Amino acid sequence: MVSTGVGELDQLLKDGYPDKSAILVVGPPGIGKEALGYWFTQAGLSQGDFCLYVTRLAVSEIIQDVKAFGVEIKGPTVWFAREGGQTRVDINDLPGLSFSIKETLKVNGERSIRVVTDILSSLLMLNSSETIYRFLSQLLSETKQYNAVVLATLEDGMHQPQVLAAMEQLFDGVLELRLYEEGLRVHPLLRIRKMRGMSPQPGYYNFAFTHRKMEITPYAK
Amino acid sequence: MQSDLSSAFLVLWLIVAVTFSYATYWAFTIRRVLVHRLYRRQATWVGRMGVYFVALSSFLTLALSTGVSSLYVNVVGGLLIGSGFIVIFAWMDSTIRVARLSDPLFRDTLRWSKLRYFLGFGTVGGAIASVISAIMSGFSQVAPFGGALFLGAFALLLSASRSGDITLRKHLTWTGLCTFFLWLGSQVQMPLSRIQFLVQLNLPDVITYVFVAAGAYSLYRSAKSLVPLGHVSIADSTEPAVLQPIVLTS
Repeated sequence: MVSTGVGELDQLLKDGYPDKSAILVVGPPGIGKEALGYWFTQAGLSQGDFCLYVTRLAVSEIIQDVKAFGVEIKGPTVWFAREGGQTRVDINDLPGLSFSIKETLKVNGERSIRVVTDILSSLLMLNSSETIYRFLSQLLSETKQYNAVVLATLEDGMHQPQVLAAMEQLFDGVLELRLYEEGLRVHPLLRIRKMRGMSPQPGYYNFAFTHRKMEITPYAK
Repeated sequence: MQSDLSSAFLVLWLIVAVTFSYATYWAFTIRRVLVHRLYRRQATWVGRMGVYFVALSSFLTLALSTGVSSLYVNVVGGLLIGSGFIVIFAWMDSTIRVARLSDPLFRDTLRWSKLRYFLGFGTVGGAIASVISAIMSGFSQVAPFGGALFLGAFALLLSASRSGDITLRKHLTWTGLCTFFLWLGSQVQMPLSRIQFLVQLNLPDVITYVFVAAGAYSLYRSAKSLVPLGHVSIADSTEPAVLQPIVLTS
């Protein structure tokens, strides 16, 4: 198992994400789903794993966001980014992107690998869902040849429900961070929609971000 | 008859004020649970729009129904209308910046990142001019941001039709409709008050209020569409797994 970087989440998932898995974090914009990627990267770097961060943003924007969550990404992260990374991300160039990722994984194939990406929604906005399904399906099966865990974020409410359902099918685990309306209140809730090796989890969990921490507590209506 | 009309106004004003307040409540409730600064800012300005229109509609109802016109009232009216320029500009700016962030290609539509400074200066200028104009010739003579609302509605509805993001499209549509109804409310009273038959029934004011109420309802829908909100199913919420107390994460 691979630590998520969040103690309570590790506990919920019985020690973390499964080995050689692909995890999808679904949630609306602005809710903080990227933070799971930051903690995942931080935990990987502290264990000496190879960490690759593929983002549609500039590295400086990510670093700014990382600091806002009180996370310290110390260590040699490899960045594929719009600006400031080792490799420039062009989300219109799917073959190029796929090639760069595979080459990087090949070079570091002896180590434990963590890949975090936020480009999925952008790819789905610019390409047909069938194209992205094929692209992702191939890429994820390639990454599983290595000792790698991929964590991708996807914007909820941005795509059609059937597109979301198709994407979820490609991943071994799906975590959902959503806002739920209950009377006049809004609760940010986490739910484990599916996870390889675990029985379906019916419960919801409250979550909150405090400085340097994500707190997760059981939710009862 | 006069007392019936006053009651009708009071009811209409109450509907408008309560709807704007409700929109504000939802905007700030959603803001509280968002963590990204740009989305929080967007929710903040939707909420401030609600607060602003509660204040403006209350002031206009009170001042116009009592017919009071003194320097003090004109200064307050001018300041309220003037601050409206700034609130509306900040609201639109925050929405456009979020729209850009959600665009996969980060398109800087109309070079907004630069244009916003130019328009910001224009907005402050317009706000100052409206305060001066209200003091000089009475607040009721100042047309409250008619052109800005119309152009804003047009731009927002156009952006909504172009956006590939379902949530943003819904939010922009409601925001555009809100702006459009408020513009309509600010424009219909003058032409309607020329029709004697309608004036006798005091319908121009009623029709104006109906448009403002439609704007308030649209702002409420705009606030609720900032992010998709789900509903917890009772069956799923009854069995939360037990978590042992834990002390650290990072």
